[in-house]
Amino acid sequence: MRILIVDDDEDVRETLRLVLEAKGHELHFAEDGEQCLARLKEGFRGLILLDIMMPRLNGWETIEKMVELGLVQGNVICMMTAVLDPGRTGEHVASHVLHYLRKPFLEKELQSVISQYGSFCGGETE
Amino acid sequence: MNEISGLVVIGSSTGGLAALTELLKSIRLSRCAVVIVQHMPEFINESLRASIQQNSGMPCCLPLHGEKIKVGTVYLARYGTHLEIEGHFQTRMILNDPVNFVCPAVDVTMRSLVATTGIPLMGVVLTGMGKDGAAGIRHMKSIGAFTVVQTPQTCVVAGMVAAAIATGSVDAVMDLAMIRQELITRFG
Repeated sequence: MRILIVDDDEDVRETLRLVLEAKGHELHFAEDGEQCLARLKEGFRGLILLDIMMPRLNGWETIEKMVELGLVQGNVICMMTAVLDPGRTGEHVASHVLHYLRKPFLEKELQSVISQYGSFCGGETE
Repeated sequence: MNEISGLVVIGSSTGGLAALTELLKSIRLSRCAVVIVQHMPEFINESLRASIQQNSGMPCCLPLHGEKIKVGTVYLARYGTHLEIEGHFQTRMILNDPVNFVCPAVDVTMRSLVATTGIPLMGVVLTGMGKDGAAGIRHMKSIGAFTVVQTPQTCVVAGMVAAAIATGSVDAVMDLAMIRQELITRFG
């Protein structure tokens, strides 16, 4: 499946590359929210693993921009963050965040997200 | 004559798709209707409806305005419209601003319910961000419903259940397996 990994931490990106490439997934990468939007404008649709705390556009701001620019369609968003509980900081985009992975997470947790949410990527509007 | 013998309203958000799958797997509730308000983007509507129907074994639909609620059926609120349940168990779609930042909102659906003699009601709040569902649970409790929320420790995000618990109107805090058993015991 197509997965976009958005994280400013190179170690996180590389670790996920090692884990997910071995499973045969098509991987795309972005170092911050602006690069994420660029990938989406280029046509990426699939599962987005989105860090929250990033320079320039953080995770929540990135989702706001996705909504504003009409780039939500077909993308399942899973936040991927060390923040234990988002509190109410993300509730304004709650409709667009289908899952929340806390770092550090186990490979089986990641695989579970991919298997649970993969079928919803690219779903068609009625 | 009202065909409804019980009504369950389930509200969920972040983490809800997986929670609903576990909760409703092969459940077949024949003595109630189930209304689900899941926060989600519009393109998920149809695929989630199909997923719930396949997973639960119960017919699941995206209700239209004025639809009569039937037992043994799951109703999944559509993105972009609030879903109210009128006194005679008929759907009413409300095109309005988001409530708690979301549309449809759990609070709108739960708060639309009125006390019904002899018809058991159950309100459920599952994993999710924010506080949607808290006012709804308080209302449902006030009209005699059994109210339950998912154990916070088992939620992907516990904001919604914490807000519901804080109202003091929650009858039980249960993990998904226990909520599932409660549904089967009451409405199976």
